[in-house]
Amino acid sequence: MYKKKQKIAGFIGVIAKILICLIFLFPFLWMISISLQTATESSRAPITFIPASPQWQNFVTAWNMAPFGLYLKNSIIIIFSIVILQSLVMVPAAYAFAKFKFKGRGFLFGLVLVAFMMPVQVTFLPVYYMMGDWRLVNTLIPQILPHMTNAFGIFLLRQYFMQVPDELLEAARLDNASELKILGKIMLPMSKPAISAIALLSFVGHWNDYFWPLMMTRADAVRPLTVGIAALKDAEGNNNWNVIMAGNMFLVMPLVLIYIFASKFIINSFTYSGIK
Amino acid sequence: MEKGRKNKKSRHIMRILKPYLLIAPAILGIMLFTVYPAIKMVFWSFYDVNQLNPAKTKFVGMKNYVKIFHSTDFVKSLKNTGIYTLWTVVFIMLCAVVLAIWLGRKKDKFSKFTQAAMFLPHIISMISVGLIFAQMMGVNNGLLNEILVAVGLERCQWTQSSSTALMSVILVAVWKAIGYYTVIIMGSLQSIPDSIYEAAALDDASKLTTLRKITIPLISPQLFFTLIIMTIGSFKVFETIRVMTAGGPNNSTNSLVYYVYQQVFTKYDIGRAAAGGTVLFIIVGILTILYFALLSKKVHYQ
Amino acid sequence: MASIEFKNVTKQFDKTVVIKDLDLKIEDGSFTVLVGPSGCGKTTLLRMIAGIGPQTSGEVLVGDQDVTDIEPGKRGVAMVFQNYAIYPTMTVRDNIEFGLKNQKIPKEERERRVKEACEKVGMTEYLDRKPGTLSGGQRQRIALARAIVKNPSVFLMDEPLSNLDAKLRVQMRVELIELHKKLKTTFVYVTHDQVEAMSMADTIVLMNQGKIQQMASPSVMYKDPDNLFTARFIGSPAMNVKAFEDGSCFGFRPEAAIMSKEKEDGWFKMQGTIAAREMLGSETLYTIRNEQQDTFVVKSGDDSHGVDETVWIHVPREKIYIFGKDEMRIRQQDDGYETYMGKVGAM
Repeated sequence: MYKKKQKIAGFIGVIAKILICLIFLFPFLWMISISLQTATESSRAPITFIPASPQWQNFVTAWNMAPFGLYLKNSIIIIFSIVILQSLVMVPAAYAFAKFKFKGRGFLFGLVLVAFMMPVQVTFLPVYYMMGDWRLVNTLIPQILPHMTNAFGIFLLRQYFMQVPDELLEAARLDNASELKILGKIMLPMSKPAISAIALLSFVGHWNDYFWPLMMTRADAVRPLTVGIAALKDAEGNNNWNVIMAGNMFLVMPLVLIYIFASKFIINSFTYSGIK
Repeated sequence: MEKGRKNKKSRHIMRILKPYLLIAPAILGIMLFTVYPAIKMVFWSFYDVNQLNPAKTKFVGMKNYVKIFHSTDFVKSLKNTGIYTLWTVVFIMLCAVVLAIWLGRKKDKFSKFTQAAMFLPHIISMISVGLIFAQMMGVNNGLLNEILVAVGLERCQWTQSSSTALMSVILVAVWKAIGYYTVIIMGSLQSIPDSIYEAAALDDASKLTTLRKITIPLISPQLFFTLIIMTIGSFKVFETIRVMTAGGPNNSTNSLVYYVYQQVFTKYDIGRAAAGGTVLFIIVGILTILYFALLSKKVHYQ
Repeated sequence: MASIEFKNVTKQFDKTVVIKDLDLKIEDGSFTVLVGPSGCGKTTLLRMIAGIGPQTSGEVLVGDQDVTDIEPGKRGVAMVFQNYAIYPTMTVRDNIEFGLKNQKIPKEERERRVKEACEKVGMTEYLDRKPGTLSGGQRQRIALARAIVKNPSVFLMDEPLSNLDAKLRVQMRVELIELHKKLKTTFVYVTHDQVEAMSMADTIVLMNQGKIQQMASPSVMYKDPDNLFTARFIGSPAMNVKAFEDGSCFGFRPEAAIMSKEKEDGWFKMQGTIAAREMLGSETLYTIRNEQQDTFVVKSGDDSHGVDETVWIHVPREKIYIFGKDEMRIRQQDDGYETYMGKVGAM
């Protein structure tokens, strides 16, 4: 009796899991399917699940509808600049907050928390005008420089640095190591998991970011992928879903591919930073 | 000797300055791109801002606030944001807790795969997700309506009708975030030691009792924090609205941030935009204070 | 090689004064052990020498030079930490070499010195391993090699053996004594364990509450304590102490008492019952309680007595120590010695 009950529960469990996987994965499969359909297939009523013949040229069409090469280049430049700039700013700050005592530390760390919680929707407008005053609007800088302080990263890395025993730093000072060397040879190698998680979060966040670049850009020359792809929808309206989805693939597939190979690392990065 | 003393002094100053130099770039970034703009935004909300001719910018007191709170657009957007936040938070929380408890202690491959599948939407941009759902929610040729028809239900108007549009946007947000919060809650479940469950089993507690008396109370502090973070995030809803509904139909999906965006880009009214932004600032500020108040209390317990 | 001197040194943490106006000179080439209960300020002194916890005021001299404003790495000192402080991400070789690299010492010399240091501690075959794969004792040796390789004029050690198991600790003690003989540099060693201090030091500095209680060789510490604190801290089991009505007291060591069934000759005599008996091997510890509920511990080579047995203990006059109301020792030549001795004899 007990065994039978368990068997039924297990069966229901499997069905539920299949259902959940479908709910969360099917929309992505659907996107792939549409991106390979003809315009007619994608817009007519009964819907097509599997395109009669895959329309690979949709990707070429989408790619040529807007300067996607440029958008992609912009996205990549922006993200790498942000990740590098943030690291240069974040690492010393986290080190000081974790390992030095100084007047005003509490207040200054409070500022970091304020920056962490502040929605960009509150700050974008003055920043945009500031960039205008500095004559930087037509460069990529408005999408890079304002992100220089990764408050969340400082917070996380500080936690990690605090776990490095003070004795190690003292030993290094007795070994005549400079602060730079202490950071580079001791603190950073010991904090690799935290740093890679922060870099990944920053990468994914800025690859996907739409609000900030939309607010900072008025010209094609400086737009990243997200803005370009949303503009594709504006241009096409509710027609030619096949081309819009082909464009969408440019934005989605790189992350999906990375996720397939490193889902465990990605999930851990997102969650161990999670809210405690 | 004189030189030695000078060296000594400069070394001493260096030692005191060192931490400040280390945090200087970070603090500079925060002052320049967070603190200053936030103050400026609040400041602008009391002005009639003229960007083309700054000399014409004049102080108007609370007029911007009076204007926006009397405009149906803004009130509607605030109300929509509230409804949106309430439903997304409730839905995500319920689903995530149930899923986390169900999947939490399962270690088999299929469970892990399910977990990974649920998490995937979290790392995909809201723009992409919005586009996929916009297509799927097509009234005549969308996937979702085909499914509804196949199981014998009526076609839904989704984003095309003011009665269902907000619900459609909520659905997308819930779909995108469930996996993330499930994994977060699973994390707090895993922090409960097995021995507590073993003790409960020896005390002959039923599964439901164990859940009610042990699991839920033990994770409830974390649930509270998650709740606040979720609420803050929901108040900033923008992307889905931008690609799925553009605030329509009939303003039925206009949100606080989308309202601000419209004021800047279609109405060119910086003062009103600033007032709207300040309202968001205040809401997020209250929630943040609540968050840290709870946090310090929790630290206090331990 | 260098002597170390503290001149009028004070250390404050926030508002709490841990050490006040302390003077101390550690001889060149000595093996000095700073010992005392936790919080007595011994580690604080060590960290001042290293420069990783500088004094609030006063001077610290290493080899006659004031090092107050010299950075830790440039003081010519090396330190071995309690939990070793091995850099976990570097190999054993990198750990040992780190200080030399920072001093820009050429590669050939570096290699030679690393090899020598490793031979001294017997860790040569582990050079390319990561610390995570090594045992506590091996890490301890790396920490030693890391200190040796720098040819420091002063060796500082902060409870370096406290994380090792008992057997290894005894073995490392011997090795450290031999190392000191080989290197002939100044060793300053901090511990809370008086056994460690007694077995290794040529000079012991006993501290309590930021003050030096006594500084002397182990045998003087044991045989001729300056005050009650020293008398009770050094030696295990601790000295037996009985107070007089006026607050002063006398004491004797557990091994100084002679125990027998019948009353015999002795300056201090007392009858009591054996409350507990601990067999140590060659010796036996008896806890004896008299009618006034005074408790004494006696260490004896005779294990024939049993619990609840009534016995006499006798202590010869020359084995009795007298301490005044201020807890300072009253020696034979001091006033009141005979009076107090008379009181003991009359008990």
